[in-house]
Amino acid sequence: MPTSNTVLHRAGAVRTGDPAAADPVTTEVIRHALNSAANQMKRALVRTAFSPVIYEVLDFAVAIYDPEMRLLAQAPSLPMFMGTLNFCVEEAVRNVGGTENLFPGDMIMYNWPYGTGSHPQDLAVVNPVFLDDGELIGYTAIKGHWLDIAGKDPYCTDTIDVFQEGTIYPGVKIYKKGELNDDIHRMVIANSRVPKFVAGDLNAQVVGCRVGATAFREVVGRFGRAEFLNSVENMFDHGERVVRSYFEKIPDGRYVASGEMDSDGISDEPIPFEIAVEVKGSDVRIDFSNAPESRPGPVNCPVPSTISCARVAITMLAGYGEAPHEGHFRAIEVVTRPGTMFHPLPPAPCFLYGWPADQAIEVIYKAIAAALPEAVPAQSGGCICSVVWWGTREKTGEPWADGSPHPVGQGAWKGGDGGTMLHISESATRFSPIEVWEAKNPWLMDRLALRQDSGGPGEWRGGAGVDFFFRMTEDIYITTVVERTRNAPWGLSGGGFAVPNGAAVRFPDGRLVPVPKTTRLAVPKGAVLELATGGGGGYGDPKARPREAVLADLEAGYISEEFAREHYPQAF
Amino acid sequence: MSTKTIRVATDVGGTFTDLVCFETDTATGESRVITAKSDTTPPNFEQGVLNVLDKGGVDPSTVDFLAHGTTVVINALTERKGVKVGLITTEGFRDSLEIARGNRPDFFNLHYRKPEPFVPRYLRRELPGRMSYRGEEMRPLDLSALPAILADFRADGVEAVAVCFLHAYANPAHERAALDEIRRLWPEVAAVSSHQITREWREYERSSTAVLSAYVQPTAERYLTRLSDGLSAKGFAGNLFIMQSNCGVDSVESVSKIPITMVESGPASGFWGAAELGRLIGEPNVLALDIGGTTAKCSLIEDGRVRIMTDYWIERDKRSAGYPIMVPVVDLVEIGNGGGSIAWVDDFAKLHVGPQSAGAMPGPAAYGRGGTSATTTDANLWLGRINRDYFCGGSVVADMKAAEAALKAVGDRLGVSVTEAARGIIRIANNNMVNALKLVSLNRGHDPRDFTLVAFGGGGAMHAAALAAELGVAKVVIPAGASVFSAWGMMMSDLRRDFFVTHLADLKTGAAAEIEALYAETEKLALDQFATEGIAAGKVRFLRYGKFRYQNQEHTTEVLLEGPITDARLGAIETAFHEAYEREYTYRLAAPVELVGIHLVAAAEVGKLEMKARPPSGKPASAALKGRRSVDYALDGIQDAAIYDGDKLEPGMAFAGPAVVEDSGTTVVVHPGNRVEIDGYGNIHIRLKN
Repeated sequence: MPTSNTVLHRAGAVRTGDPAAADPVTTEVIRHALNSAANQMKRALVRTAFSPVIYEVLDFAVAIYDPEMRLLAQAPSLPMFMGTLNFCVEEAVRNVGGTENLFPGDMIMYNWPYGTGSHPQDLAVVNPVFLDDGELIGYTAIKGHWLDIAGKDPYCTDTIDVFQEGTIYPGVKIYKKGELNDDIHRMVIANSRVPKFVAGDLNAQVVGCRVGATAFREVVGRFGRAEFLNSVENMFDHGERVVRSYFEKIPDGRYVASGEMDSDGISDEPIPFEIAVEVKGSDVRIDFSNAPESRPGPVNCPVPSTISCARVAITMLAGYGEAPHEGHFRAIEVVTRPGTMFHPLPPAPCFLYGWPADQAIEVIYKAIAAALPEAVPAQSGGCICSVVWWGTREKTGEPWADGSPHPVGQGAWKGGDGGTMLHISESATRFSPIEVWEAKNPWLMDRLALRQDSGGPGEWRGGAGVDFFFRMTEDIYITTVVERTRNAPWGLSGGGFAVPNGAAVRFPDGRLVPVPKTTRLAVPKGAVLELATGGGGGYGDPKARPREAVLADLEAGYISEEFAREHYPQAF
Repeated sequence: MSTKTIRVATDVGGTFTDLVCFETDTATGESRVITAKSDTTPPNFEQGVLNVLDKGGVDPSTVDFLAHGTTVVINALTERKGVKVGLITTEGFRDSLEIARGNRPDFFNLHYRKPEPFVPRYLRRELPGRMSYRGEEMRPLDLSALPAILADFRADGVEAVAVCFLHAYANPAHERAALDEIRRLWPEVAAVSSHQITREWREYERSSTAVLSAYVQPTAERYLTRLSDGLSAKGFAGNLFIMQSNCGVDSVESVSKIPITMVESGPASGFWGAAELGRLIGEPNVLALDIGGTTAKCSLIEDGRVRIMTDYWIERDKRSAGYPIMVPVVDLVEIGNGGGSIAWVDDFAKLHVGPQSAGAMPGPAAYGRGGTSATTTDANLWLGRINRDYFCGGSVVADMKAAEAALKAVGDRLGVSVTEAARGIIRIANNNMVNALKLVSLNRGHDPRDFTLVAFGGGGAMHAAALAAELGVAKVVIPAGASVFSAWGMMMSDLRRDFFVTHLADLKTGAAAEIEALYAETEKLALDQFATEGIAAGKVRFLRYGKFRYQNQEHTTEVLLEGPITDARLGAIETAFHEAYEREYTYRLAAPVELVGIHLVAAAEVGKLEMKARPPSGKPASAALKGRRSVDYALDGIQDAAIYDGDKLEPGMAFAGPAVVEDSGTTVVVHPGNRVEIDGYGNIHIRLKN
């Protein structure tokens, strides 16, 4: 419930056109054209970026906003970044002195975590877009994950304030009226352990924004300002109707579910939290106000990402499979309480903001399952299971860095077994080919195999987790962020728990050291990082699983005979 | 002494088997063209081919050159009619095929079903042995477990075995050894290893390729054998060539070994036709658009060259990650938008067209076969763009009542009139196609305004002028015989093979020798292959492409390299890359450039058709005028249009829009302001006012 000490967040409700005056076919043509513009931006970025974290992991967001900072179009990338860029576009513009200080050819860099919602490595480039007559028609913006931005370590699980997490660019013009601002550019280069990558990725972001601006101008130019604005309102209204119609079908009520973080990276104590989903008519309110106090370690999730995870969860559920825009967010209200894990205040550390946010998505689904279990899947492995590696290459002396999320088992749902994929918050991401990886980084992969008995049993079973064994061929450093190692992924409607995530380093002397969260661990040549990702929870009573499905799983080796006899006695 | 050369192309489609025959008088160069159509005859497809030859009155024993296109491979894949495959991988990696890339393109779908692997887990087995990315042996191959694996496969009814080992693209020795041993132990089984198909990296994609190839191999081999035997029995003694996905044709012997290369041969022949047509009429830069009943496909031809890539996936769309097949395939974008695409209104009053299609049965509502869904064709009929009195060349009486009822249902849901609904359908369909054309042009760094749009297939000509106007394209060409254009393209094809090899190299002094050696070695491989088919080295032409990137990038840009690679030329090569890169991405970097691999094209002419232009007939276009009618041009309003009989158009005729050209297979919609001219080959050139 919102109270005096909570804050209510809503999507932009301002109107700049008349939806009734728009032609529905023209609206659809404009919607496609805007999405096509966003996709051209994405393509330019992906094809020109230097870091795999951008071109493979898709750890970026590309979007087009109108002058009211309403989302016009966003290309599919990291779902978690869906609908968060408005906050940073707003802040970036404000910090350079407002719209009167914007000129054609300007590009602003911005990465203050409390405005982006992310850690400092996620840096946004914001490009104001003008028509030839000088009218500002909106912004193209790309937030991308930089491999290193001179935090205390390239990737950290143990920061105690935001200033340890990287260099801050609080809204500075990297291009002024089309001219590169060399002073800023040299600052960028100087403040990274891998300057070549960062320079390349910044360039890719700038190019992407420009490509988008050209396409955006064309759309507005082709239809004229008035028709464009009317169509945009029509498009927003349509999106709003889509989401509202979904919630009209869910019984009114307040549905509460809980999750738990393993630790905050500094202390080892678990952090339980709860989220409430309130449905009233076609309105849905996601209430984070009961969140625990903000933590001394970096698992604090700044407000833009809290709002984003609510929008992601709801749009995935109710968005009708459409590319999202502002209209889809209008039915969603988010409540937070300042000073908590989901509404931290500066300078609370927030490097691992994504982990509470990722888990929150699945906790929201767990809450919705109380009203409508068949609408959502059981829990997945529950984490993106990130590893970041870096070091200096033996032969060349070149610094290098790389990072990746890893696939986990997915939760089963009514009607389907879970598969093995990346966590839903990274669902567009493609896992790297081992052959490309081995050519780039100093390791050999010993094993890439589905984990037997890791998926939760059920009428529909959860997906299997995966063993990833990396044998180092040079001395390197790693940071790991593997959450949900203490709690098994939950099943739904009688489905069983799955096996949780785990990570450990086997040193050459035989020691096996668990490393669920570790920062800058020196891993010598010959050591093996054993990452074992979790399975997905089951759905429905395992006793109802057909015998032939159980036997097929057994033959495939997804499950052992012992497991089958325990959970599926009906098959024997 | 024969005075005629007879070239035949046959194309086996889902419903019909088509034939086009060019009987060319060797003295005059004049050709007589025969076309024929007969039913496709599953599962004995070769029978349909023999039938259509018979129907067209073509005696196989007189045919010099026969090009054949077939959907046998793609059908076996999409209908899951291949054989049971066993896969053997590097120890520790059998699940790569199932884990795949771990993504889900439809990330709004909480109930996403991952594409099921073509080989279930119990038939995926492993052998110890390991190569590094440099191709160094890290651990020797141990084949001791192979007999037991093969015994299990036999017991499980496996009919084909695929082998894919890590880094086999860099060193295939282990794959070769395993394959030799499989053939020794089990000579009857179909067996293929990944390096035989591709020498590119990415283990999931390569294993998927090997698996899908093995999956269709027995079926395709059987098909090709029966086809050649059937033709031989009828006295055919000429050369039989099979259309490939890379826009070339290849010999039956070669295709039988790796039949997966036929997978996209259907669209490839049309796009090659567009490239050849461009050469013929002096239009080297072509946007090619093929609109059929259920889909529209497009591809971009630059400087007369089709773009061949190995990033091909089947069943990949917005909803599914699909399955990769790393074989050379013409770069195309396909969308579910054709004449039979169904218009529908979603729960929130928004109009969509496709991807569902009314197909041939029941077909558009106007077919009168019980279809109640409005299709693009129904909208085109309603607006007078298609002649309701000459529907399907007069072979079908248009059921306008049914069309009206179907369109009205759409209009009612949108709250608009029947005519507005029909216009909306055309606009949405055009918009979908414009977006597809943008994907192959703008999204690849090309300005569509620099290209000529060549449109073919049953529906291409109906939409082309509107699409061109939207994209700013100045000229549209509708080829003569647009509805059988693919078969013509087949006859214009070269014997062609594309070789892709991943090989990392920097461009520092001293690097050239190694790169040159790789090209030379691959060229020798190509020449050896061609030689076994009786093609002399002198007839083989090579195109050397290098795949380059700035160091640390992932994606590559292809650059055409002329002449031998020497250290002295590395600088020029680097410059050429910078230029190609800048054209595509608008900027260049000072970063070091590296080679990621080579793409070698080896091609030899195998007696393709020479086209001969006819002089202008001197007759005015009015000689072909068959009437006038009111046509609704959607955004260009309702116009009184001149209707021309396509069969009566002759070289040199010219007229202006609004007009419609009709022949039995095609309707060409000419918008107000367009100017039309017929060239010496009977192609229709439409110039837009912009």
